[in-house]
Amino acid sequence: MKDTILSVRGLRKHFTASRGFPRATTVTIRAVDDVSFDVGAGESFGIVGESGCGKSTTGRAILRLIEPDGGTVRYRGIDVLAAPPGALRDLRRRLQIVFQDPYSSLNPRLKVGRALAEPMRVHGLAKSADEIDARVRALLDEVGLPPDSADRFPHEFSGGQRQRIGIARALALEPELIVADEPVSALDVSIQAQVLELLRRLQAQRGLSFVFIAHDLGVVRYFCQRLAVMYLGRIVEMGPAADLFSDPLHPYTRMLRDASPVPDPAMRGRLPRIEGETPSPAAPPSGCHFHTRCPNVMPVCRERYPSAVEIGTRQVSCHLYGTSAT
Amino acid sequence: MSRGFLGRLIDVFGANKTSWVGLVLFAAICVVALLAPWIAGSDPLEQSIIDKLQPPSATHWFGTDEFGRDVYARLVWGARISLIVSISAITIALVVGGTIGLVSGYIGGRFDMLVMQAMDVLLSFPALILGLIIVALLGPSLHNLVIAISLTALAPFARIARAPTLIVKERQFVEAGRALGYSHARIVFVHVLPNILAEILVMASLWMATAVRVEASLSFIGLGVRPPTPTWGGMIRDGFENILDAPWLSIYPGLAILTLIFSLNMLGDGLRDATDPKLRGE
Repeated sequence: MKDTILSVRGLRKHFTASRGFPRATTVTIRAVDDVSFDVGAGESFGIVGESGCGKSTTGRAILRLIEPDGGTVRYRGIDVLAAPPGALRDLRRRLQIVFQDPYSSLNPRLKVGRALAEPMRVHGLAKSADEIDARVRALLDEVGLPPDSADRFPHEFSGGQRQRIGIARALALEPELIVADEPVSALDVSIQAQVLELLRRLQAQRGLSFVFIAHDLGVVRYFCQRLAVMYLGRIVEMGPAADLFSDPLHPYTRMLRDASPVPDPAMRGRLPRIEGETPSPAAPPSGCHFHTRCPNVMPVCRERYPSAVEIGTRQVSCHLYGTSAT
Repeated sequence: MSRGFLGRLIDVFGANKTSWVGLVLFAAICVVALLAPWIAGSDPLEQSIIDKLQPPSATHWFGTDEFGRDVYARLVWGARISLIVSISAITIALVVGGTIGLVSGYIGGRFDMLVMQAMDVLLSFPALILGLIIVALLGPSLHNLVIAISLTALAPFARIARAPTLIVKERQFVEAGRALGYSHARIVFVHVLPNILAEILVMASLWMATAVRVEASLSFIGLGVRPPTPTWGGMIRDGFENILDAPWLSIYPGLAILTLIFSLNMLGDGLRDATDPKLRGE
């Protein structure tokens, strides 16, 4: 791997909620539990998992849009979680986010030009009004929107175009790393490909790093070099994307891979089914969280959570592998 | 939300005749108040014993009162007081109450709970009673009347600003603002405020009517602007002593108050329809 720029260690975020009537009990939801990974310069790191597995919370905790309860996040050696307001503002410039919902992520009362100029003005990135104007036009061009978009309101654009505006807004601050939180899952399939192509081009041209969050393995396979698979708040398997697809180690990774549609009529009806529902993160199963749905379940799985085992370039948390199987 | 607020406004007003009537009536009253020195015809304070308690005639359109003052001139000048008091009181309530609701809703948590409970205490008094208490404490004057009425309207504005703030602050562009390093003040006033402004303005037009009513009521019981300044509420009270001999003394200011409140309610209904999510198909 190239030089590590983002390093996440033991990240934890627990939410508490009151449940039940008339006697409410406080339950702790371990949205993110002991998550660690590294992202290299210019790398796309994917985080995949079902909804509710904590992948979006992880993305937001890295940017401190949600304050995590524990762990460390270091960006180029700077401790993000302990950064004082001034340093945090600078980090906010260097780390940006693209949101899932292109309808909610743009202020409906703000013209596109103003929405793109505002971050530059706030961070003092451009001196004159002319310079800001020129940069707004350059940004629109870069994401493939016509220059007259600046004078229009977000509601005049389609979902795909709005997502391009959201990307342009993130780029306005010249960031080094972008957290893309399911950036294409709200879009039509044909539009998805265009937006992914745009992101890939931007990555190549600007040397951006990505933390790419998705529930769709097909999208991740297209975009990411390395992957982490999350299940109920924990990373169950992590490694190079190609290896994870060709030879998934963890039973959950295998199920996820087999569940993504294959355009092959001969395979119809031969897909293995994912058994059971995702358990509630408020009351995760004992031992390995996945044992209730796992086809390879063993007695030890119900008792202990497996520790992470390194296998080549990969890391997997499963009792099938390494010392914990003995 | 496919069109601007103004565009929807034109649509709704085009389809809704009563809001047009409201707008025209309200505009007419504003014009009368602005042009008072030129259209009143005579001095509203000039007394004339010979002309006292004259019924409506060609010289005195709405008759004269017990001091021989022209009722029409007093009505025209009275419109100024009603509008000045209600517009300035509602403006203060809108700015202060709106800011309280906006900031409180945005901050949320325990702070929000405390602020809103304080507002609930204010809300538990009927507008007139609260106005009465405040004016009784401060003493009757134009100044204190404005303060009293703006305080009665403070809590409703705080509530009406807070509710949409709670919704808007969960939208992703607010989170995007934080990610872009914007200050909380910028997020609240540049990004949240424009998205809740329509709701607050509708509230303002409806509460204008209440302000007019409270002003008239306080003047009626002698806690309004001091005589001899003509006020509509005060004119009704003065006319009461001669209601059987000279009913025009109370009837005309009563009709004036009725018209102003009616026009504001119609106008407010139109504005409310223009911002109603159900009508704009959101």
